Amino acid sequence: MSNETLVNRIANGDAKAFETLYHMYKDKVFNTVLSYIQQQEESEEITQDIFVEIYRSSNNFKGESSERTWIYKIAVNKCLDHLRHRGRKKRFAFLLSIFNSESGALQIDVPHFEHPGIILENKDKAQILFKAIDKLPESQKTAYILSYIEDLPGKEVASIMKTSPKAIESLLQRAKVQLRKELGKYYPERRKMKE
Amino acid sequence: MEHTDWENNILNSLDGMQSAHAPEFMFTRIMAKLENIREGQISSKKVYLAMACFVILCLLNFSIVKTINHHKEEGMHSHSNGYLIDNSNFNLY
Repeated sequence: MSNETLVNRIANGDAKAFETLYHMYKDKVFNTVLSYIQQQEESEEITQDIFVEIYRSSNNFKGESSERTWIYKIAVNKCLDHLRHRGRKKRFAFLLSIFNSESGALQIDVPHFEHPGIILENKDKAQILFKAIDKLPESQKTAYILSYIEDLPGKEVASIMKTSPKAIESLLQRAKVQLRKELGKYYPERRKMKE
Repeated sequence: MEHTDWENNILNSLDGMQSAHAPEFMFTRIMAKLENIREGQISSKKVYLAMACFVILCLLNFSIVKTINHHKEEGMHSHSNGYLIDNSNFNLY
């Protein structure tokens, strides 16, 4: 059974096909969402929304890209939308905190994130890295997550991001430079803690 | 040097990372969400249908009233003509 027929069957209202597709992609989608959102409960909610979207827009799948690419596109778009919404909320909360000193601190900040798939000895380092990834611009973040966390080939990342593989390489280079800059901010803190 | 090593360590901390697993029972929750959406769509369809019926009824009512008024006006015309003739007769008195 090819993947394309699965989506076609979903488009025809076949619930069994949807269940099969869900079991094929649930972990991949959840892992991607978790890397973007860095918060367990929100990621669960968004993953559900992504599968609802897959079900509802299965009619729009024309087979121009692979099914996996199509699913990743939906997932990435949902995550970016959510992050934009979170950014707006954060700015609004900041404005409120200026005018209302009692409500004070921003409560939308994401707490420390621990990815469940990281090996134990790397947990602390990965926490710092995820903080830095969160600060990357959208396109660099997407290229980095899809390439280094999802381990997708450059060609597929390019297809998901509707750009060329060369552009992805350049985005990854810029992302690494940006990450090093960001990590530089954490280094003095860490040295102070050591001293 | 120490700084660069530290940065490299951080950047390499994703090595050996495994994929996170989606929580159990998520599929049930997705199906429940889909069901909710479907129910919402059906009820919104009902609302649209009711609104369309209401608009059709209003238009029908309006056109019936207009037709009746039109007929009444025609009747008044014929009466007023008659009245004028009566009036001229009155002047002859």
